[in-house]
Amino acid sequence: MNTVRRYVLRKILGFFSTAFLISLVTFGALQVLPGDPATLILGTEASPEALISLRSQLGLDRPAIVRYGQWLVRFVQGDLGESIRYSIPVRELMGHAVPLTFTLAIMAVSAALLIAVPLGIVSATKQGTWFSKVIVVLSQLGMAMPQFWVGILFIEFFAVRIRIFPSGGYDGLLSLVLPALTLCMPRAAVLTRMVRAGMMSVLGQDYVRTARAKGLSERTVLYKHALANGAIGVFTIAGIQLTQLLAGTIVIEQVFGLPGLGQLLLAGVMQRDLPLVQGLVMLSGLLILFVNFVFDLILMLLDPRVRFE
Amino acid sequence: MEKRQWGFILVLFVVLITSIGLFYTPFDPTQVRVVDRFQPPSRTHWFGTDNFGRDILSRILVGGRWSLFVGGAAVFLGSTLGVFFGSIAGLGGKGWDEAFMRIADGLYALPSILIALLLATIWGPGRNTVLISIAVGNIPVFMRLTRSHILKVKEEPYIEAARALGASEFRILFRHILPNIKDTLLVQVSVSLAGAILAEASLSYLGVGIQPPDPSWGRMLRDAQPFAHLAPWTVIAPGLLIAVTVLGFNLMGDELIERR
Repeated sequence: MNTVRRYVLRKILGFFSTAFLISLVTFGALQVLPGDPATLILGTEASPEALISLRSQLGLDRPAIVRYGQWLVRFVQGDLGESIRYSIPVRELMGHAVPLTFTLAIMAVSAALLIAVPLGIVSATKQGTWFSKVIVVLSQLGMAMPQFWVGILFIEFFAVRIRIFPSGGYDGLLSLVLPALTLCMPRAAVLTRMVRAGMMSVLGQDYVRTARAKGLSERTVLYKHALANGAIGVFTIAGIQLTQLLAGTIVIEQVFGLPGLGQLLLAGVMQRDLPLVQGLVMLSGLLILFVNFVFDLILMLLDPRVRFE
Repeated sequence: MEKRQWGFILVLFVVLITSIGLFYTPFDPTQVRVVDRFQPPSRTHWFGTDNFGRDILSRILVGGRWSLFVGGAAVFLGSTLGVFFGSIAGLGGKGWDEAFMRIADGLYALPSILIALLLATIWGPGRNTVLISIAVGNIPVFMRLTRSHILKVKEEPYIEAARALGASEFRILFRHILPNIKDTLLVQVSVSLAGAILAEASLSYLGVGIQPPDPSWGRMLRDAQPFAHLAPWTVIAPGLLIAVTVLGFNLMGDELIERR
């Protein structure tokens, strides 16, 4: 139990120190880098009075360290600041966006796993067959094709030509099907390769040979002995895949015109809405960090070896 | 034929047509000719024309130069810095290691696209914003690779021997450690190039990357999307070229992994 406690403690410590670093980067980027936020927002032709009043509204007349402290304290309390453009709290803006992006991400991860695990297992057990070769080629294509392109083609085919799905915008879960499918493709491609590689390495192990030698059915060998261990590797990768997925949602929301976090962030970037961008980037970083943290803990339960690293 | 060779051929193909585009295009890629808009592929316009009547083939030929430049420069910058910081972490002792790896963890939690959006808010969208973001996004991978290798071989007899002979840490790094991980790093460079091209294309598609009048495949897709149902050929070629480039770099990296 002691090793477990030490491991968890170390992970928690790591989580907070990394979170602190991300906050420094997110906040610091806007302070250290050249460019006056007030001029950025109002443009170079703004009157000096307007610039001064915006600077004090943004708190730019106070020292950076004070502003950082205030920003961090407010962030921890759940106050992400106020959007300059919309003049309402960032948190309110996020209200509708968060559930949409989350639903999309979860649908995509589930789809990726549903596709990747069976395909990976089959292509590992049937090595050298045409089926396995097709899967290898498909996974390469899945990783190479840009998601936004696939999305555009999907819309063209499934929404415009045969009209099964809506072509864009958000109107119920059905409008998330095409985006989720698009989003899951590269993830499924990578995961398939991982499952395949994991299974192939496990299938060569002594205990699998022993299981076969003692006469267990191929099914039991595959699913009870091999998959249980192959899954650990997949699980490690799945955490990283979730991170990538978040970056992917920004692009996919643009393709399908979905009003999620990505669209909000992009609007913030285009309108130079610093508090909005700052809050959202910080939140995304924290989210990614948290997901990885949770995955680390689950991995520790699945694979006791990592506790001693 | 081996996978790596396929990858090499695909990359060579893209480099070749991009080089041709530096000197020759069948039409002026930026010239607007409204009468020619939405021409389907034909003998004159092999890939058709877009909503401004611009020749798509010509735009494809010139659309890759900045993608390749931004991708190449970003990965070069990111890998150099990553190897440098990773070496300090690996050789510098526990304090440096702990500090640098925390920074790497922090960077890991911020994908290139997020960094790019953050920087674009301050600097405005554009080529340099994307280049720097992708470079920064690539630092942690190379840091971890270099560091973990150094930790593995640090106590090996041949390193100890070099140290006993009075070799400086600098010499040990450049003469003994880095030559050893050259292959691993090259694989990562190839895979990173694929990722960088994809990230640049995505950002240009989002409108944050390469800006008109500079052409880019990602931006072409952004501009063509509203007309995809009217003129499907406008969205086929740019996406295909991005996919071929990424596939090429991935395959080159892939085969190297298996050779190790």
